[in-house]
Amino acid sequence: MEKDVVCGMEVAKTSEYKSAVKDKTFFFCSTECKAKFDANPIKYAR
Amino acid sequence: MPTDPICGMHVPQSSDITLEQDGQKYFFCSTGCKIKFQAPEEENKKERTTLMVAWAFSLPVLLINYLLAVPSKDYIMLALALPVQFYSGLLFYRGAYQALRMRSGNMDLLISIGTLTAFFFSAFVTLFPGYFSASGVYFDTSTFIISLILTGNYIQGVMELRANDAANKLLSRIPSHIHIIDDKGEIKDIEIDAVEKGDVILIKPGENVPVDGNVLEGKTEVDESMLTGEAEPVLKIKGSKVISGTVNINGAIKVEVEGAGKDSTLSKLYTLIKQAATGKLKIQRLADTFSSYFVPIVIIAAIVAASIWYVSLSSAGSGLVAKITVLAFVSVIVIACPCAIGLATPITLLVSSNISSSRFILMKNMSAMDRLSKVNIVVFDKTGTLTEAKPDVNEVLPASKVYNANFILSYAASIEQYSNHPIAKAITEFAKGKHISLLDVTGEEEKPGVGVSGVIKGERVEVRGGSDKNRVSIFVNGRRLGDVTLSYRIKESSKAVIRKFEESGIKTAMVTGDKLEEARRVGNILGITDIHAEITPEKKADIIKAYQQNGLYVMYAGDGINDAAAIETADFGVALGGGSDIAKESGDAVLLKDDMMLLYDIYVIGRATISKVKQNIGWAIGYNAALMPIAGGAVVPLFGLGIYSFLPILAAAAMGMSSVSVVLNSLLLKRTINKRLGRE
Repeated sequence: MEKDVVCGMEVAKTSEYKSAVKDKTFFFCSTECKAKFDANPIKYAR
Repeated sequence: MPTDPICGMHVPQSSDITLEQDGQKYFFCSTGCKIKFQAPEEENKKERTTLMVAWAFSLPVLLINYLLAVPSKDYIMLALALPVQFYSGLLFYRGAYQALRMRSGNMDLLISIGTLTAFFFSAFVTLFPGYFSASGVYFDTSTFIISLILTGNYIQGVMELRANDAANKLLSRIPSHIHIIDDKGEIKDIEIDAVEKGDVILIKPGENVPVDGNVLEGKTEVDESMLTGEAEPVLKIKGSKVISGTVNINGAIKVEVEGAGKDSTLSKLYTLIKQAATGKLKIQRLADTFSSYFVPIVIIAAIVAASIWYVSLSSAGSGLVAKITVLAFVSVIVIACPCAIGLATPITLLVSSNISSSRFILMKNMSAMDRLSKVNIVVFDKTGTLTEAKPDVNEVLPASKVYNANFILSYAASIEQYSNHPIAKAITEFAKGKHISLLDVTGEEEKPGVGVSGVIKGERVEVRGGSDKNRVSIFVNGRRLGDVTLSYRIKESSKAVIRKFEESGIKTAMVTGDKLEEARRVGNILGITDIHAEITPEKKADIIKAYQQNGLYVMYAGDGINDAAAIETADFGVALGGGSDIAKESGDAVLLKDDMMLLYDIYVIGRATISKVKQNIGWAIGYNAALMPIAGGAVVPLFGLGIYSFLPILAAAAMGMSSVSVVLNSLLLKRTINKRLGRE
């Protein structure tokens, strides 16, 4: 399991909502969370 | 995987024990937890009954076991243990069954296995006395474990109700009945739940406002201090908005309902405060992982400990084989309950959220607490945040010496009295303050973004703004008479909060759409040197990103719609709210009161909360890790095998107390924060 860094929920690695920053892939529970992350990755990735 | 908001256990997504409330889905490990979530007070009363039954029977068991020497005492104890085991203990079996059905484990399962083992072993020894030679009965163990754990649950429940105080107090401000006015104009009292949007109700003097709505008739003053912190009563006349939960002081008003029940501001606030506590923190992941593997590990550990004792004692030919094997198993199972770990985060967040709301801070996103605790720069919007939202007139500047300043002002104010724009209001009020009488105007017209015009004494008068937002010009028949300059008064609390942040080593900065000159003026007074002026709303977010790329954690405070992007981008965004739209505001927190010092309070609350959560999780995990070996038999070399007569009961007491101590420690958060802020 992976953690959706935006909302804190746990998501499966098979989730279709994901974004890559440098070498790390982040998984999300929904398009909303992915959109929030993509708007400002540094806020959630660090 | 979701977690149960009551016990903190992991619940599989497939669980059918769920509840949808206010757009959020909650998962529970058992119906017991669900009921507790829905109606904590009733559950608390029920817990008290089962608890009293448990103690009423388990105390006699203890006395008989150690003090009475009658031949059939085992049978008496068996009879006394029955109600404890199967009435008071019933809720554990229900919970355990539900966990097993979902192929997962919970604390109920552990307690059930532990106490049932002790009970049935003792019942067997009682009914077939010859089978295990030299083995006693352990009804005291099984009954005491149940009684102690129920005591722990009960105390925990009482304290959680206390932690919920602020949120519950909010809801208690809504009266149960209201006076509705029907189509015929008759007044009837109906239950609050029956009120709908569009209904007309009567609110008498001294009553709490039960709904959000607009005044149709009447005039009164309303105390809104519980929502805004402003002690001054607010005048309400026809057309004014009233907010649920405020107090109608001195007049009767008819109000058209706009939001009732769950659509009322008060109920939205309540939901937000409660929801805040279900937020997830980064560090909680550690605790979650820990408790999801916990139940199977504990059962295995208990079997291993029991097996080791069984093998070593049988090979030594000891007569204590059965006794020690059973008691070691029971001790390990009972001591290892992970409920304190599950509680550590939610209870602290709940307490923290309640502390915040009592300080007129609405925490909307507890997951942002992690980032809040790292904040090292605070960026402020200028107008409406550091300064008042409404301007004051600075001076009137005639275009030439021919014109008199008061004459220009009387023309400007006469035209502006018809506009609701903040600048227009400032000019009108300034003129009134100077006792300048206003002139008759005909054909007044307002062009948004440009200005106001009209005819005075046959001449066409215009008041127009230019590129400088803090200056308007007055024209008569197209000729400029002069200008009025305005400025925004700096809030006293802005000075105080910036000094406070500086003392704490936190940087400060300002972003504004205003001209650099005005920004510098404000910056100089406040001691802010890092200034970004003439910034469009979209660019505000970019400036925050730039800080973040430089490794800073940014708190942003802004007041308006044009700050939404910056508030969202910041690591912790604060909206200066107030009024009835608080629930809608963006941001991780909303200030309900116009006091900039609250920003420092937020910073302190964030740091204190995170450190308390870490402390709680550390305690809870450390406690479980340390006590398991003891329950398994690590202290036997020191105290001898006799210690096993007490270990299971000690285990139950310790387990109950671990949850209680976590809750107690969380309640101490209030003292820590008050002490650090040096005021109530």
